[in-house]
Amino acid sequence: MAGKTEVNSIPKSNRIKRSKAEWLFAIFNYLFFIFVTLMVVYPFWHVIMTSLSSVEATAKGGIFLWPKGFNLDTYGKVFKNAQIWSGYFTTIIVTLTGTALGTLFTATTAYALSKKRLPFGGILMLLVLFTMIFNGGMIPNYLLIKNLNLLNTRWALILPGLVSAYNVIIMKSFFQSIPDSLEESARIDGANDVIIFIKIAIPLSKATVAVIALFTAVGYWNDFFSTVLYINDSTKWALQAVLRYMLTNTNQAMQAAGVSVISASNVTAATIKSASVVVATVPILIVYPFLQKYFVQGVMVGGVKG
Amino acid sequence: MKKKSALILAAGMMAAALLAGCGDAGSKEVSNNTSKEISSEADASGEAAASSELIDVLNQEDTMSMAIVCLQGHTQPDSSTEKWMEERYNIDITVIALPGWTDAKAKIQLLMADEKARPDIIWWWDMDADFAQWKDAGLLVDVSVYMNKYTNMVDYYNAQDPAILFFASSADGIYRIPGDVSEPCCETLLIRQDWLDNLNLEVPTTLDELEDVLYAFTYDDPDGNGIDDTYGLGGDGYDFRSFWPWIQGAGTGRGHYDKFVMNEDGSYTMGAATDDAKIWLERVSKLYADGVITPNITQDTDRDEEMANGGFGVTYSWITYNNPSNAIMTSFYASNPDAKWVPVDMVAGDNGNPQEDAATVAAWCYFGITTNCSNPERAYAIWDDMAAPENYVRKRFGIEGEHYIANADGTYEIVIAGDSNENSEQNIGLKLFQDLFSRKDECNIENTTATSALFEKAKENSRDIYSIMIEKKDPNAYVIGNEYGTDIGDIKLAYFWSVIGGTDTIDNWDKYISDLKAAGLEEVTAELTEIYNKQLEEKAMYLSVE
Repeated sequence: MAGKTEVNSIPKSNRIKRSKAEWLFAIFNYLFFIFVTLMVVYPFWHVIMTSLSSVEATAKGGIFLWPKGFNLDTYGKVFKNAQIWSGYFTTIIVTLTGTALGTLFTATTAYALSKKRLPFGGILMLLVLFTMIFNGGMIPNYLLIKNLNLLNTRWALILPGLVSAYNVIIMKSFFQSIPDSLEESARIDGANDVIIFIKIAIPLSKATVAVIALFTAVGYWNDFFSTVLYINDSTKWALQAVLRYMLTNTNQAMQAAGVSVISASNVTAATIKSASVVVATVPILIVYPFLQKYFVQGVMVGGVKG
Repeated sequence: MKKKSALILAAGMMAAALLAGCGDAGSKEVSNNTSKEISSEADASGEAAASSELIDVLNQEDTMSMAIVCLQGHTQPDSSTEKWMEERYNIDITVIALPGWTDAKAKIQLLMADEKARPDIIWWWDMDADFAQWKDAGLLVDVSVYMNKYTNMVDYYNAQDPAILFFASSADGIYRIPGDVSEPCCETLLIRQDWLDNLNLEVPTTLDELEDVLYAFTYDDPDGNGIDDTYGLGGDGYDFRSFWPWIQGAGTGRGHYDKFVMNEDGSYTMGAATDDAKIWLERVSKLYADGVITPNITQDTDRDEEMANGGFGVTYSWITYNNPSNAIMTSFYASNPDAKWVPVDMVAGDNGNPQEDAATVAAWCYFGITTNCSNPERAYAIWDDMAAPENYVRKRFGIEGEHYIANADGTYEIVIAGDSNENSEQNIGLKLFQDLFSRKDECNIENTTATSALFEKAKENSRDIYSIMIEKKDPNAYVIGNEYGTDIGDIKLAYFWSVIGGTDTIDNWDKYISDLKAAGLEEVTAELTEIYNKQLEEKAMYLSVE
């Protein structure tokens, strides 16, 4: 019979009965994961509630489950902040460009490396692996970007993280799992390497490409340190750098940085900070569900051999 | 054969990669030579300019580029204030905004290390070791020659305290300009007048009276709501400044929580190791044990949040809370319309000489003109012109009638505050470069007359305690102090907060002292004695010349 068997259609006497231990384990599991979920979700919930509360209520602290003095004024103020918009612009440009180029270069690199007939393929793979283990460090990276005349440009936010060795290995593993017979039959029909890559390899690896694209996009979206290093013009700051600037503009951060004099009037209001966090996080949260199905499939990529 | 050629190829590629790094040494030498050439050119131009006439900054034909680093205040580029400065001085400003307190020092170090990206004016704080390196490497311009010609900033600092520039100066010149100097004293004793009225109590004038008030505020329901929800003393958590009335009122007032102090015989002692410190620590721990201090004062809370929340009747906190425009107090009064915080005089302690907590004389941040600047004298002259009262008010507070109102009685009303949303939305630029020279005199129109009077009074009432406080000019020079200081500080923090919180007792004071000595306190004190006495001689000589 096709389709799933409904549990309720099975007579009770025929159902597998759980033992007491299994019931206890199931209850513990549910409770444990509910607790973990609450621990993960609550901080973000608190941020959202703070962003919807009034400044006076937030200044006293004590926001727990619901906003106090509900209002949307804070979001209005955040969206009037020119730095948020310039941050959005930079981050969107960098993320889209970086994701597109990064996925393209990762896929082409991985495809080439997956072919046994690639001359010195083993050595090239070792060089790629080498970059996973060793890194030049902050200063050499800075000097490299500087010598390429990329300082204070958005390319400095895109190029350094364009191709990740880890992603290359993941994709290479998948490409290696594609049967050679597919490629051979395509060659018989007159296809060259580029055609095979575009029309056979990529369509088959949609899940993997989606995963790599998601990893890359999230990496670019969250990156702030590249801005700290390479960008001097605040209109080119990435959104996360703008956010970090606002979030670290606190009395405690100042005291931790060795400033003990009053600068209270400069401190960003808690509501503004919270609203900015929400504004910076929501876009990537919106994108994620659309790619989640690929993510679940892609987790097993490279781990299962055909 | 194939394997052998592959290995040779790999070895060749690695060798090539290693050799590629050698190219940087050459470019580094070139860059070092370049910066030295610039430095020598700047020195030469500085020396030459010292003998020539004043630069007329308002009538320059050439547009000068100025890249300026800043952290606080308005950092959006192309603001109205920035454009005003550019038109006034014929300059092209590039604002380099530092990325927040946590990452700013790393960025400053990068900017100064990169000869191409080095700004014309650099700003920094708490980077004495880096400053020494920049000075030795010739990256900063000696502005002492300009200070003799353009005197707005010098006159202001000398009027505040001639020692400000002493702390900024080096043996061979002045390479850093004080960016922001705290008022001589920023804090005052604040008390809930409405609670005093409700309980028919007078404003306390002695430490004993203050303690009586704390008990009354805690146990006598001063807000009359029938709930046991009030405390006597509250304030910034995990900060000894909250206990200042007891610190200054204990013994001879030498129990400073953070500094070394000078004894009557001219020797020096760590304030937190004196008998005076033992006295105030014991008093405060008793108050905490009796429940008259907010329980969370032993935790690192946010001062502003505590103040906005209220729930306590006495605090030692910022004088600027007295300003009606203060956002924190606005928040507090919105929820407590009948409340009234009033500043009161410091209470007299054991020695009958009430003193406020003196701030350091030295600036907490500095800015300097780098040797990348095409015309350092013109840059200094521009900054000095901006320091003139009318120009400072224009840059800091905006246009009269539009951003602030000057009343006939000499008071001011701020229409658009520097940290307001309007300033950001309209990109006005109030508070632009706020920490690159900041005036705390009558030009600071943000303070009400009452607040300004409080600052003046606090200054007068903190001079005695300042005279016995040790303020280091060059913290970098205290090698032993820097080596052992962290451990000594940790021992102090652990013991003091444990005693206050009740997990340790004052009976273990002798053990605490011996722990400090074991951590190197005596060596630190010996080093301080040697270096600080020299500093006092230098300061006396400097002030006699000035």
